[in-house]
Amino acid sequence: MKVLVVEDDVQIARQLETALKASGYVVEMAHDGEEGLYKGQNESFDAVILDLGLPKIDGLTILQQWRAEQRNMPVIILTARDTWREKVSGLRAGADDYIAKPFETEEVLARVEALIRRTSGHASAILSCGPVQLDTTNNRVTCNNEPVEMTALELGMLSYLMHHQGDVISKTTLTEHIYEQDFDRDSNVIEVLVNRLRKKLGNTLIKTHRGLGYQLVEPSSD
Amino acid sequence: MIRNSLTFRLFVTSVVWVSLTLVIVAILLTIMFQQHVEEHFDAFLFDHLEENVAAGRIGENGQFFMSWIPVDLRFNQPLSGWYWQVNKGRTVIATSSSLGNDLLTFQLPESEKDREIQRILGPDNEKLRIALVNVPLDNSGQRYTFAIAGSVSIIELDVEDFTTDLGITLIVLGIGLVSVILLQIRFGLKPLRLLKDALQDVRSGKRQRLPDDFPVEVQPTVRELNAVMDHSEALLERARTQVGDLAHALKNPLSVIKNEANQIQGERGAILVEKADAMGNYVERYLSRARAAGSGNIVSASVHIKPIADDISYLMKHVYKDRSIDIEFSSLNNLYFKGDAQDLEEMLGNLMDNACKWAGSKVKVSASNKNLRLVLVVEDDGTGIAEQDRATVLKRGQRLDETVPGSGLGLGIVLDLATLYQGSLTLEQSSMGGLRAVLELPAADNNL
Repeated sequence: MKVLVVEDDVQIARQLETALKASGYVVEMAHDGEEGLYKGQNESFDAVILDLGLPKIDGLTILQQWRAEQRNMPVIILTARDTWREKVSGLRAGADDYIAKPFETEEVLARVEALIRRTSGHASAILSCGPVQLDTTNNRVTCNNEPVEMTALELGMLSYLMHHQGDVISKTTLTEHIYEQDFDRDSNVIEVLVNRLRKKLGNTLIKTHRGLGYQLVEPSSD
Repeated sequence: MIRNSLTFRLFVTSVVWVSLTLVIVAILLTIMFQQHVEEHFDAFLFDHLEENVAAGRIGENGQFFMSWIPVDLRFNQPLSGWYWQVNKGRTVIATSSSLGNDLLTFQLPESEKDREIQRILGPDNEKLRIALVNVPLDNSGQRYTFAIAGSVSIIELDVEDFTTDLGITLIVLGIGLVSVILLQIRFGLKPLRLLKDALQDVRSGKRQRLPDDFPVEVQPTVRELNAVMDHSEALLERARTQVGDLAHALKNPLSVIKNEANQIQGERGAILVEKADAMGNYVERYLSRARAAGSGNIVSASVHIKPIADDISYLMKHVYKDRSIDIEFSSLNNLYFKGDAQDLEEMLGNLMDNACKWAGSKVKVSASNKNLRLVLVVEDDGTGIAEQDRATVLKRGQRLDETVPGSGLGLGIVLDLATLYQGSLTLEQSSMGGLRAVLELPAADNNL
């Protein structure tokens, strides 16, 4: 899962980045409005945390611009002014949620997690596919009710696939959402990761569509 | 017509002066007419007097006699009101046959040859006007006084007819004048009425400022009013911008401190978090107060509740999407808050947010206007707040449940703002099961 954080306050940005990374998210940072707008326009994210008070271009304008360009990723706005008018105009501009400053990073994590889940159409915090369950609140994975240890990358891939169950997902999309931007896209780490997941969770869980990508399917109950 | 109104003042003064003028005119005209009629009457009497004097003769025996009797029938019919009489000194020596056995009593004129008019009472106490003249008919030195009297009833009748006609004419004239004055007042005061309408439009938000095409007498006031509105708006805007900047400047470091403190294990970390929270709460509460316009006395202070409730509801439905809370409005249309829109947003926002946070599945917002007091009720079907805890949540930064996110300031901020507007916030048990928050605020009467 890849999250964009647009926040000009360096410390807040760093804290968010640390907390998000610790929860297995791939994090892109932008420290002013211009950079944030550009990244949101040109990369694909699973969620955006957008501060409203930004230098160069303010958050609300960025949000309106994205929505006008059909960039429909879920956006959480951070507001320090904390007036209802600002919250309303934020949501009317296309935000999905708001968090008032001062906040605790745990709350941001919970909201990001819920928002991503909601956007992909899952009501429950525990995503399941056959014997495999992923608790999005703490990133614990179980298979047949047995806990499974995962590396951050494995978890990132599984989480993305679980959120988009049934969809065929290309290697490029997967790479974009589980690696930092400067990743070498030609390498075969995706295949390696898929194989490791199959080894841990069973061979039938991830189906390969040659030339198209991967699909998470519920193993037939035979 | 309202007693304390310009229209009333102008109307009453005009009616008073018009009536006064017309009454004086009526009196003067009546006096003039009476004089005119009397002069006419007197001229008639003197004509006949001349005739009688001409007829008066002294015989060779020194006896007085009338060489002819006036032919006018009125002097011959008994008690006709028309009489003549001739005196020699105090002795009556001849009378008209209309007098019968009565005599006319009058004061003998003093001077020789001077004609004179007297008012006397004749037979049957009839009021008479009498013309007198002394004529020396012989050389005896005795004065002969010729008198001719006519009843004044004819004058009175004429004057009465005249005053009746005059009265009707003047009343018609008066009504005409007052109607014209009413029209004049309406036309003259039209700019004031337009000003009132324009103020109403400003209050209801139909226009921003008063137009500047009023007559010169009113325009300075209008300009001042606009300036006052500009000023108060600018003040509020500046205060809000500064509060916003301050909020931004304080809350970012507070966020950082809180999150760093969370990383510190043990008591030291906990103390830092606690203090950062306390600072955050103070900042929140005092900034929310500083942001408040807190007054419904500025001109453009009338806020329709419905659109604001719609906005907040939109926000809530978004934020609490997972829980699909049904927000029901009842009778919010055409109710206006006498105050600042942003203040109402804060109050309604906090109340509805609180209700949604604790609701099972339903939140109800209703409102009413009683005697210019706006009563906003927000209730939910959650678990509510126990009676003994209700006072606690209204105090600064108190939270009953630390597991639900929020600063715990919501209801306290609402109470602060309501107090600024001389309103109140009461917490009760809702029939829906949860909390029923009753917010009382000044209502704007949009019919001014």
